[in-house]
Amino acid sequence: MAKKLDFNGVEVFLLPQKAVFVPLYNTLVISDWHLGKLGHFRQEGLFVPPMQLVHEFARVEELLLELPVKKVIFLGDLFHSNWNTEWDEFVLFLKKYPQIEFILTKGNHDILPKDMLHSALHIKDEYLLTEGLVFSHQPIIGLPDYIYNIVGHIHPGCVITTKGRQHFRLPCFHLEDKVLTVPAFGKWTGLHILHKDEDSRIFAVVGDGVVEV
Amino acid sequence: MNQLADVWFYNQGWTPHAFQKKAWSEIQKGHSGLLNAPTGFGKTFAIWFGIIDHYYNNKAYQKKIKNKKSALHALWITPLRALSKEIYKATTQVSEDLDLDYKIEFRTGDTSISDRQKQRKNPPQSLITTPESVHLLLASKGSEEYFKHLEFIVIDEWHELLGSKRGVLVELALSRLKVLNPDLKIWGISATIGNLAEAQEILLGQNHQGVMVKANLKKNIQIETVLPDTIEKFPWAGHLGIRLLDKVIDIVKQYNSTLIFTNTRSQSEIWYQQIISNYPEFAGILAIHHGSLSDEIRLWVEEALHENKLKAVVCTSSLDLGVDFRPVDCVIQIGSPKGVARFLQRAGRSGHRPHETSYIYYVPTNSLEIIEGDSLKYAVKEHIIEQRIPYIRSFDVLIQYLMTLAVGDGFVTDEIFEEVSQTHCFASITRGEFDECMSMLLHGGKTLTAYDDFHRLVLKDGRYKVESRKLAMRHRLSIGAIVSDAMMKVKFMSGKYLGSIEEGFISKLNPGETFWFSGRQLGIVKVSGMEVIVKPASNNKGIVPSWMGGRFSISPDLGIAIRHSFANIHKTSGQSPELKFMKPLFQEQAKRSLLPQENELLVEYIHTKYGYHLFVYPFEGKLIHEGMAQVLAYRLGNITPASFSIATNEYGFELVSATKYPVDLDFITELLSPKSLHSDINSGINVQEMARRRFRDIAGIAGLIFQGFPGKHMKTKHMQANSGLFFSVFEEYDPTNLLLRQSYDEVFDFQLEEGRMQRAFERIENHKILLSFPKKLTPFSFPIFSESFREKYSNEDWQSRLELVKLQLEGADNG
Repeated sequence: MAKKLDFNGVEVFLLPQKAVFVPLYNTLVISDWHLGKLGHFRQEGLFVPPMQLVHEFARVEELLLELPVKKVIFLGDLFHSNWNTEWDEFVLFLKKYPQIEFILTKGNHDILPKDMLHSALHIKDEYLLTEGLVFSHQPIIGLPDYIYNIVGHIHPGCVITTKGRQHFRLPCFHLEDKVLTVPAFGKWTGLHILHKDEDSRIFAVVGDGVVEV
Repeated sequence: MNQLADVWFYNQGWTPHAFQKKAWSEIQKGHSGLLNAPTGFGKTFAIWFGIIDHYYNNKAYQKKIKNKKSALHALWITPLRALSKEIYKATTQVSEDLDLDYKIEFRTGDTSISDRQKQRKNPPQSLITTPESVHLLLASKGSEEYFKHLEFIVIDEWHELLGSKRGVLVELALSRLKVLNPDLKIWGISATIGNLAEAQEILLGQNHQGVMVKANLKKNIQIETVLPDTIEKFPWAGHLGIRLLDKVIDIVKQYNSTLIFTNTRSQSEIWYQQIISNYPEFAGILAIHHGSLSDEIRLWVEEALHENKLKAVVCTSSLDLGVDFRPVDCVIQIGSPKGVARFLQRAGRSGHRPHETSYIYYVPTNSLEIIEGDSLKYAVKEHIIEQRIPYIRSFDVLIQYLMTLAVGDGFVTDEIFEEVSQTHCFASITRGEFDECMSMLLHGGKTLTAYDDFHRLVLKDGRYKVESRKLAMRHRLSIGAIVSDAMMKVKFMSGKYLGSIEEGFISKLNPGETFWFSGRQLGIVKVSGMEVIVKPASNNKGIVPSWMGGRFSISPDLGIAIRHSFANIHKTSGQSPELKFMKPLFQEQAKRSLLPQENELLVEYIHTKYGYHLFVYPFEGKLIHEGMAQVLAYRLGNITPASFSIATNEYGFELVSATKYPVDLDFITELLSPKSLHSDINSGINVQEMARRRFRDIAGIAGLIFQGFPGKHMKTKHMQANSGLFFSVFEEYDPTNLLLRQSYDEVFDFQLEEGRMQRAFERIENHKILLSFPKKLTPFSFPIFSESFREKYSNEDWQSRLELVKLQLEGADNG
C-alpha cells in the first residue's frame, strides 16, 4: 500500500518498493541505487561475490510493468564509483525500454566520465516540474518557499519500537520543510537513522506498505 | 653453568632462583620449552642468559656465523608495546653491565621507517617485537634470508596470546620460521592457566621434545571487599561504584601508590573525573591510562609510575600485563573482574617483588555484585583458574597470512599447506578448504566469473605474489588480528594528539558540545575528516564516551565460585562479611518472591507495563544465559508464535513478551527440560544474528574491510562498507563461503558453548524449581530488567511481524 501526498496540487505516491511515483507526469523516481558497488569492491581486490544484477533489474521492471511509467528519474548515486562491467549491463537494461526517458540528477557518487553517462541517459543537476516540484540528489539551499524539493543522498531510516521491547530498523521517507528525502533503492546500502520531531514527518517502509510513524 | 649469569647476578648481589638455573641448563642443552613463572621473579633473565650464553659459547653457532656480517639471533615476542620496552630495558642493561657487543633493538608499529630499514640491512642480534610486527617482517622482500639464522624465538606472556587470534598469528609465524631454520629453539613464558600442558603443545608442536620449567614460588594475596555503609536493596547496574568513592580514596591514602582497575575505558574516564572533582588535591598525582590514549600520554604515565610520582592511576586492562611498577603497593578492582585469572593478574601488579604481599580491594558496582567478593576469595583459596581456549580453524587469519607471504617473498602452495597443517589451529584443515582460501585470493570467490576484473595474487616462477603496490601497502597496514571500529583522532588546535575515539561517539556530538576524554573536559571545535579538533572546556557538564567491546562474560570458573557463594546464603554461621552484609537484600528477595537454596532454581513471572517478564536465575554467566534464553524463547514460541526481547546478566536472564503464557510448575519444568536440547539449539537460536556480529572481526582480519591509511589522508574512495553488508552479500550470493561458515563455527564454540549449556540444563533438571509470581520487580530481577542491551528473538515470520508493526502504527495513526 502506497502513501499518497499532495505537493502543490500534484499527487505524489510513496511506494513500498522504496521509490516515488508521480502519476500526473507518469514519472518514477529512484534514488541511490549504488549499482556497481560490489564490482567496485572486487576491482579493489576485496573478495566479495559479484552482484546478481538480474535480481536488481527485476525490481525496477516490476514497477515498470505495474505503473504507466514514461519517465524515470534517478535521483543520484546511481552508480557507486569508477566504471566496472556492471555499468555495461545497466546500459543494456536501459536499452530494453526505448519508450521510456531516463534522467539522472547527478550525485556525489556519479563520477563516471561525462560521455559515458550522457550516452546512456539524460544528465541534469536538478529536474523541475512547473507546479513547483524540484528533484535533486541533495537538498538545494535557498529555494523559494512554495517549492517542494525531492532528494535522496542520506539513505534515511527509522527505528520503530513496539510492545514487548522490540525494535525494528526500517527504511523510510522523511518530509521536513518541503524537503522529501527518499530511501535508497539499492540493496546493498545502509540506513542513516533519523528521528521524528515536531517539524518532520516520517513514513516507514513496512513490508508491502508505507505507514506514517 | 652459565658464566655470564653468574657474574651478573653476583654483581647485583642476587642469588638465582632454582627455576632460573634450570632454564639456563635446558637452553644450553638445546631444548625448547615452556617457562611457567609469575611476573616479578626474574623470568626474563631465566631465558635471556640462556640466549646470550648460546650466542657466545655455542661452538656450532660460532662456526655458522663466522663469515657473516650480522645475523638475527633471537626474536622476543610480547603482546604489548609497553612490555616490549620493559624487556628492552632489562636486556640492554645486561649487555651494558657486562660490556657485551650483543645488540638488542626494539620494533613495533611505532618504529620509524628509517630505523626499520636499518634493522633490515644490518640486523641486531635480538629484536624485541609483537606478533603483528613479525608478520610485517614476513611481508617484506628478503624475509626468508633475514630469518635464516634465527636461533631463538621467545613468546612472552603466551597465556595472554593463546586465547586470541593473535595466538594464531604466533602459530603461523612459528610454522614458517621452524622450516626456515630447523635448529630454531622455541621458548614460551606463561603465567599459570588451567591448560598449561596444552599451551605448551600448541607452542612447540605435536609430539614435541620440549621441557616444562616451573617456578613454584608462592605469593601471598590479601583480598578485601569494599562495602557501602548501607545496602541498596534494588541493585541498579553500575550504580553503586561511584558511591564508594570516599572509601576508595581512604584506601588510596593508606598506600604509597595504587592502580585502580576498571573494566571499560568509559568507566575509567568517569572514575578519574569523579576523583578529580571531589578531591582536587589529587590533581597532578592522579593519572589515567587506557588503550585509546596516545602513546605519549601512556608513556608519560608509565614513567611517572616508575619514578614514584603518582599516588594513583585509573586504568583498564592496558596495565594488566607484565610491566613492573615497583612503587605500586595496592590494587583496586572496580566491578566484577569477570575471571579469576584476570583478578589474580591484577592483584599481582602490587607487591611485585618476591615475598611481598599483594593487596587487592574489590569494589562492587551494584549490591548484588558484592557476592563476587566472597566468590573470588573462594576461587583463590581453592586454586580455581581458567583455561585459555585456543582458536582453531581461523580461516580469516590464514587468508591474511597467505597475503602476508605473497606480499613478501611469495609462496609455494604445497609447501605452505604442509606447514600450516602442522599447526594446532589448522590441524584439521583439508586441502579443499585450503584451496578455497586460495581461490578467494586468486579470483575473489569460488569460481572465475566471465567478466572478471579481480586482481590480487599472481603466479610467477611457481610462487604466488602480490604485484600491485597499492594492494601490498594496504595489506601491510592491516596486518593483525585486532579489529577496531573506525577511530577518530582527538587533537588540540596546536596539533597535540590526545588519543583516538570511536567515530560513532563523535557523530552524536555537535561542535561546541563537551565530553570527557583522557581525564580532561574537552569542547569540540570542529570535526574534519578523521580528526576531531578540541579545546579545553570547563562547564563541568559533558558526556563520557562509551567504547564498544566493554562487554564480556564471567568465566565458567568464576561462575562455579559464584554459585558456591549463593549456596551459602542460607548458612546460619561461618558466613563471609560479604554474605552477612547482603542479608537485607536477601530478606527483601524472600519477602517479595522466594530465595533459592542450593539445588533450587528460582523462576519469576512478573507483569509490568512493558509486557510479561519471565525471569530465570541459573547463575551460569552471561554467555550461557544468552543461549538458554533463546532456547526458552524458541520453546515458548512453539506454543504460541511470539516475539521476545531478551536481557541477561551474570546471574540470570529475562524474556519479555507481549503475550501472556499460562505459567505453572509443569509448564516451567517442561520448558527447562534437557530433552531435545541439541535440536532446539540448532533450530531455535538466532545463530545468524550472532554470526553476523562475529563476522565483523572475521571480515576485518581477512582483509575485506579496509580501515584507511592511519595518519595519511590517502583517499579510499567509495570503499566504505560495514561488515554487516558483506555478511548479507555472502549469505545471499555465496552461502557456503568458508569465512561465513567460520562465523557460525565461532558462535557455537565460543559464544553458545553448547557443551556447557547441555550441562547447565542437566544440572537444572535435578533442581527443585521455585516458581513465584511477584507483584513487583524483585532485588534479583531488577538489575536484569534495567539492562539496556537487549537481544531479539522471534519465530513469527518477518512479514507477520511487520504486519504487527503496521497495525500498531496505524492504530496510533487513527487514534
